[in-house]
Amino acid sequence: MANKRCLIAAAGSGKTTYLVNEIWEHFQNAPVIFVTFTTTNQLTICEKIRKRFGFIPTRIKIMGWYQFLFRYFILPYKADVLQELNTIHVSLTFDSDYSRTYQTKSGSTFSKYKHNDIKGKFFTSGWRIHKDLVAEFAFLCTRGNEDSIVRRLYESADILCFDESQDFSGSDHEIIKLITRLYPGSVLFATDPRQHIYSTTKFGGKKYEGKIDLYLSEKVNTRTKKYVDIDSRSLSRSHRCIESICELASSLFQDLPSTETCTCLECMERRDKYVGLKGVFAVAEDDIELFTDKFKPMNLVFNRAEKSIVIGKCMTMGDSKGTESDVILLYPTDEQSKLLFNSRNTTLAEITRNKLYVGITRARYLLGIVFKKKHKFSNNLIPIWENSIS
Amino acid sequence: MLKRIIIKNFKGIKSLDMEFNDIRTILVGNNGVGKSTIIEALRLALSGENSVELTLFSFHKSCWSVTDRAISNLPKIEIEVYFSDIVKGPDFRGKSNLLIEEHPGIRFTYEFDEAYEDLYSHTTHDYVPCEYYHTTRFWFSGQPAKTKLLPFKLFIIDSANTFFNSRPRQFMSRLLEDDTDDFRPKLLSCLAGMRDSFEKNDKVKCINEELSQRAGKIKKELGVSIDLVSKNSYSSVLSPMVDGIPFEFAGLGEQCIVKTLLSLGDDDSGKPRILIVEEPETHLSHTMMYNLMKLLEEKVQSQIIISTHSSFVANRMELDNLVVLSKGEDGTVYSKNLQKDLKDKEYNFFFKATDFATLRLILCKAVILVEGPTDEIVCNYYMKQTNRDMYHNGIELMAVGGVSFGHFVELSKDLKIKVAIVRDRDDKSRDYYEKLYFANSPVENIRIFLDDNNRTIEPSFVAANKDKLHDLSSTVRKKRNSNETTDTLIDFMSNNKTEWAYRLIQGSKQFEVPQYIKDAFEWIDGK
Repeated sequence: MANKRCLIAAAGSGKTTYLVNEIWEHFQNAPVIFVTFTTTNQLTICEKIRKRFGFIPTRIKIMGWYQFLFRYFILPYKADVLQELNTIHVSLTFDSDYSRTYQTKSGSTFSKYKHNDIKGKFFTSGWRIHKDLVAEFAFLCTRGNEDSIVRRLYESADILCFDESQDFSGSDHEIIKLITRLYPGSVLFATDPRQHIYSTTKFGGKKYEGKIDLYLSEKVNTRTKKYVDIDSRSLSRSHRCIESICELASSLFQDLPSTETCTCLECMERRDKYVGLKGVFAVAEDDIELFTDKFKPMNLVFNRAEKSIVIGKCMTMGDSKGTESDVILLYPTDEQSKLLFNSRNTTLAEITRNKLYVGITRARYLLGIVFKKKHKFSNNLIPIWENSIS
Repeated sequence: MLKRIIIKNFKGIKSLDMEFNDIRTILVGNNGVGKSTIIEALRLALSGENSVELTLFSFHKSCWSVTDRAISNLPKIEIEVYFSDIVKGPDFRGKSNLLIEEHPGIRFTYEFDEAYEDLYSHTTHDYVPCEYYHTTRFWFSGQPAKTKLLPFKLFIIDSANTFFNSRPRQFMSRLLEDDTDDFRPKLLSCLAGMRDSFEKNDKVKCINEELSQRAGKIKKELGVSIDLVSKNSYSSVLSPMVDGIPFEFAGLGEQCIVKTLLSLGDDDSGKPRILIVEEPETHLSHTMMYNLMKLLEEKVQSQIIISTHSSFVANRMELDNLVVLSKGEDGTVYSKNLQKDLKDKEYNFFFKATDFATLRLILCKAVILVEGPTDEIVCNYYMKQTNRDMYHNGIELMAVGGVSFGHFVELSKDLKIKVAIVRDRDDKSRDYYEKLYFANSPVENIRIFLDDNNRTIEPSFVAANKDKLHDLSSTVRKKRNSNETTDTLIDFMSNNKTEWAYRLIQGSKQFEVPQYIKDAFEWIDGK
C-alpha cells in the first residue's frame, strides 16, 4: 500500500534517522531513492544508513536534488524541449556568472535572453544549465512524458524519500506535485520549515517558499482527493538538544509550536551519561579562548566576515545543517545578538532567523553564544559563562 | 535483444539504419559494403573495449578533410544500438537518441572534446583533429553506460578476435575476466593457496635456501615461487586444456572452436546472450561449419548475428533471416530485411538445397537465368562475341535447371532484381510460362525470353545459322559431313548437348546466336 507522508520535524528530532528506519522496517529489499539538498546531508544519510544496515546497499540510491532532476527528468527527455539536445550532453553550473537572469536592487528582474528563446533562457556556453533553472527546465521535460517519467521512477524505486524538503521552491514544487499525484510508490517528505535556508530557484512564488507542507495541503491535495498526509506529530521532539537549547530555539518562532526535548528513556540515559557542563551561556569576547580550551566547541559563524575573532576552525551556520556536536560556540551577527541578548521581539529576515535556528540546534548539551562588548545585554535572557562554571 | 543500429561516419559507412531480426540475422553483401564495419561498430558501442583504435581513418572518407572549422560542424562518429523494448530498466531508456523516441539503447560517439576548444583554435588543421577527440558512451537515458550493466551477454567472434587466431589463451582470459561470474577471484585464491603450499614444500624450501646462499652477494632473499603479482599473471600460469592436452597442442583446432563456441550457450548467468560471428567460413572447413550451423540451429537460444559470403551459411540459417546490404554512391548503406520484405513465403527450397548459389542471386543487380550448361555456354559465346563485360557490372549468368526457375523467380520478385529468363519453350507456349511464373500478373523486373518457333536451343541455333549450315556442322561435329541437313544437324546437337556448345566456343568461326538470347542481353543491358 503506497504511503505518502510529509513529516514536519523539529531540529534534532531525527528526521534522517526516521527516514532510514522507515526504509529498514518497511522496505527491506525494495529499491529506494533518497534525495536531499546539501552534500553534508548526503554524507549524514550515508553514515546513518551504514549505521543501520552495516553498509550502503546498492538498492538505496542517495542523490542530490539536481542529480535527481537530471537523471530522471532532464537527461532522458531533454530532446522534447529542444530537439537538438537529443545528441548533446547537458550539465549543471553553480557559477553565478552564468545565471541567465538577474535582479536589480529595486527588485525588478532582467533576463539575458529574448522571450521564447529556450536555448538562451536555460543554457550557457557548453550547454550548461544554471542551478536556478534546473527545476524549471525539468518541468518542461515532463510535458507529455508524465507517464513515462512516473514509470521510470517506479521502476527505479518503490519509495522516494525527500529529506530537507523545506528547501523546495518555485518549479521544484511543480515536480513535487507531479510525483505526489502520479507516482504509484511511497513518498516521504521530511521538512523543518524553520531550517529553510537555501532555495534552489531565485524567483517564483514566495508564498510556499520553505513551506512544502502548506504547498502539499493547498496545491497538491484537492477537496476530493488527499494525495499526501501531513504529519506534524511523529517528529516534533528533539532527541538531540537539551531542554534549555530547545527553549531558546523555540523562542525564535513564536507562532510555531515549540520544540520539545524528547524524554524517552533512551534519550534521558544518554543525556545523563554526558558529564560535562550543560546549558546555554553567553560567552564574553574575552573569554572565547578560555571557553574554547575548556570545551573544544564546534565554531559556527553567520558568514565568513565574523571569522576574524574565531579561535580554531569554523563553519557557517548554513553549512552546519545536518551536523551536530556536544558543544557549540556560536558567533552571531549584530542583529542576531540583539534578538538573543536584548529582545526576542526583534524582527529578523527569515533566512537570518532560520540560520540562527540551525546554528543553535546543532548543540547537544552546551551552547555558548559570543557577545561583544558593544552589544546591549539583558541579563535575564541568557546567563553569562564564567570560568568558575564547569 | 538488439533491435536496430544506426551508424554515422564510421569507416566505409557514411550512414546506415538497419534492423536486426529477433533471433537470427545474417548479414550478406558484397565486399566493402560494410558487414565487418557493422560488427566493429557493435563491438565499439557495446563491449566498450579499447581494442578498436580510433584514428582519422576510422572516419568515413568524406569527413577526412575539414573545410568548416566550426566546432559544431566537426565530424563525429555516431553509433546507436537500440535494444528491443523487452529490455527493462529505466536507465537504458530515454529519448536521447537520433530518433528522439523513447527506447532502451546505447549511444556511442567519437567527437570533439570541448575542453580542447582553446587548443584547437590555435591550430590550422584542415583534417579531423583526432588528438582533441574523445569517446562517449551513454544509455539513451543520458546516464553514462557501463559495460558490466549491459542487459545481455555479448560474444563477438570476428577476424580481429584472438579466438580464431589460434591464441586461445587470450580468449580464455577474456572469458575469465567477465565479471558477471566470479571465476577470476576464485581462481586467484586457489592459485594463492597453491603458491602457499608450493613455498611450504620442503623440497622447494631447500632449493630456495640453496639459491639464497649462492646469490649471497645480493643480500636479499632469493627463491622461486609462482608469480601472482601482475594483474593477468594467472593467464600465464593457467593454460586452457582440451581433454588434458594444452589447447595449442590438441590439434583439434576447429573442433575445439566449435565446441567452445557452443559452450558459450551453456552458461547460466541469467542474462540473455547475443552471439556475433563474422564470416565463419573463413575460419572453418565446410564440415565444421555444417556442425556449427546445425548446433546453432538446435541449441543456442540466443540472438545470433552472422556476416557471411557463403550460400551455405545463408541457406542453412534460413533465407528469411537474411539482411542484404548495398551501398550507395555517397556511402549510405541500405539494408533489406528479407524477413520483413518476404513475409510468409515458402522458402523451403532454398533451405533444403543448401548448395545453390542463392547469394549470387541476392547480391547481383541483374541476372540472366538459363536452363543448363548448353545455354550458359552459348550465352558466354555471345558475350565474347560482343565484348560484353557483364560480371563487372554486377550482372550474373546462372544455370539453374528447369524446375528451379520458379523458385528463383519467386525470390527475385521480392528482391526487385532484374531477371531475364532464357529457356526452352519445349512443348508449351509462351502464355503457359507467363502464367506459370507470373500467375497472369506480369512483373516489370522479370521477363521471359524464348523462341516461339522452336522447342529447344538446338533448332533455334540451327535456324539462326541456316545459311552457314556446313560451317556450323563442321564446327560442332569436328568433321565434315557432306550430307548434312537441318534435321540431321539438330538431331546430332540434341544428342550431344553441352558437347556441341563446347566445340562452338572452342572454334574460331563466328555464328549467329538465336535472336531471343540477343534480346535477353539487350534487355538486361537496359537498351
